[in-house]
Amino acid sequence: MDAVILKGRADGFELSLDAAAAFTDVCTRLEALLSHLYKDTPSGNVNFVIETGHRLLTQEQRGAIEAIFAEYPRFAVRLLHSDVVDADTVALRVAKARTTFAGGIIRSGQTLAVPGDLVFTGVLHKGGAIRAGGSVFVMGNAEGVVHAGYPQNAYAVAAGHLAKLTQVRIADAVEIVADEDYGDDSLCYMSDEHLLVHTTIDQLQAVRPQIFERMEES
Amino acid sequence: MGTSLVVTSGKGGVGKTTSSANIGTALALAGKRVVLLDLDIGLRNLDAVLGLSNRIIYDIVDVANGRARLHQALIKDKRFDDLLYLLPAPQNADKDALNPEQVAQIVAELKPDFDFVILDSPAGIEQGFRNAVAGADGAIVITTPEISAVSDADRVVGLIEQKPMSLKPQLIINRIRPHMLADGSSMDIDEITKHLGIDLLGIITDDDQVIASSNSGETIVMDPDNAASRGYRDVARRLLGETVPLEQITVQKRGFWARLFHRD
Repeated sequence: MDAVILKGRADGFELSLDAAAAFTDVCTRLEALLSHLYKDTPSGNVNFVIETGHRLLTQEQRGAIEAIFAEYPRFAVRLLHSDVVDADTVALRVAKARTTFAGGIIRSGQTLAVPGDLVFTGVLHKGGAIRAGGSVFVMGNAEGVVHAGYPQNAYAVAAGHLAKLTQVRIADAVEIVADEDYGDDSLCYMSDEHLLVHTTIDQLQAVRPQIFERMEES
Repeated sequence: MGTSLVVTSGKGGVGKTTSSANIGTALALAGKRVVLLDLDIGLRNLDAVLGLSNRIIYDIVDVANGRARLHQALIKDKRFDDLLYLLPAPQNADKDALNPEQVAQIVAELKPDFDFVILDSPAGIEQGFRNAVAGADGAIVITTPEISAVSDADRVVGLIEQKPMSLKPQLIINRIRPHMLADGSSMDIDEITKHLGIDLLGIITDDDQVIASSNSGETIVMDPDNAASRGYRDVARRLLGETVPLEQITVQKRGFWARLFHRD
């Protein structure tokens, strides 16, 4: 079997790299294939999808492939796709999708950080912080800083007992709670204008239907 | 160009942070532009004493490492128009997160915009102390009339004198208990000043209201009738070059009926 196989697809060409072949062989074969193709198609731009199968390309290997393509200015890689994902990426993805339940005391200077959503039932002291990649639901007594959607998830919300907090943060925005009028069951989210807005928790379905539906499912 | 002053003591719990906050507030009340720097990395308090904890977004280490601009990290105390600012310390950073050169750089950046830059030093004589001293033109040494505090103050004065600043160090004796001074069980003010061999900047009496006010995020200086407040106001006036005589410390004599009915 060849190290690289060219296939036609409805949306262009696919280059399938044999995962069992040595990478040097893949490069040699790719080089030959492209130079041949370049001569056969004297004009027009061609986009390729590269399928690496059960192989994950390293940064250097990607660089090597890009270098080969750089020799053929009318050819470009539209997508690099692999059938496998490395374990760390999967673990992070799973963790992000999971809801964490946490209790206990978060003291001044401590930070509780989770990759996904967080339901917090403990006590958050002044000067302490809880930070989640997803949304934060505060059920316990919380006086510190709650940061939802860290670092860049503007869809995340902070909800629950927010009235006694010092700050609510979502993604890169901050609100100082003392300056606002938070009620007992609040909901804080980021508006389309990138401003933090707070309302009551019964508005969750209206402002963040996807989060609401996910809660219904679980 | 402003003056930078480090508030330090060696010993903990003698009132460095309280004094920094009150001197800063008193200077702001006198119409000066003041910025307070909290250098107690990991154990910040100055923000709490000033009631500004909930406004902290960036801190001094963020500024030093270029994660935030200086003006982003400065917190304005809204009670004093445009006169009083705080640059807070981080809570989570390591104590070695800041070095003396960085502090000196930040102070140099602040001095053109402010009349006073006050650096609140942490207790001890390690990294945090060296950071605080690095940016200062002068030092205010705080002590209490106790042998342990005075001996630590002596050590600190010695360290400051090794690398002389442009202004001479000055002394504040804090937490003076008038009745102990009267019955001779406390160290004498003149005795302490003479022992340490530096100029006396002020004396502050011990007062319950100092603690009560800081618990509510206010400084005692805002109360013009309090004895400790007068002490800090006098300190501010002396820093501004006025000649103010030391307040006479007197024990309030309780009347016959008071003694009869309120024994303690």
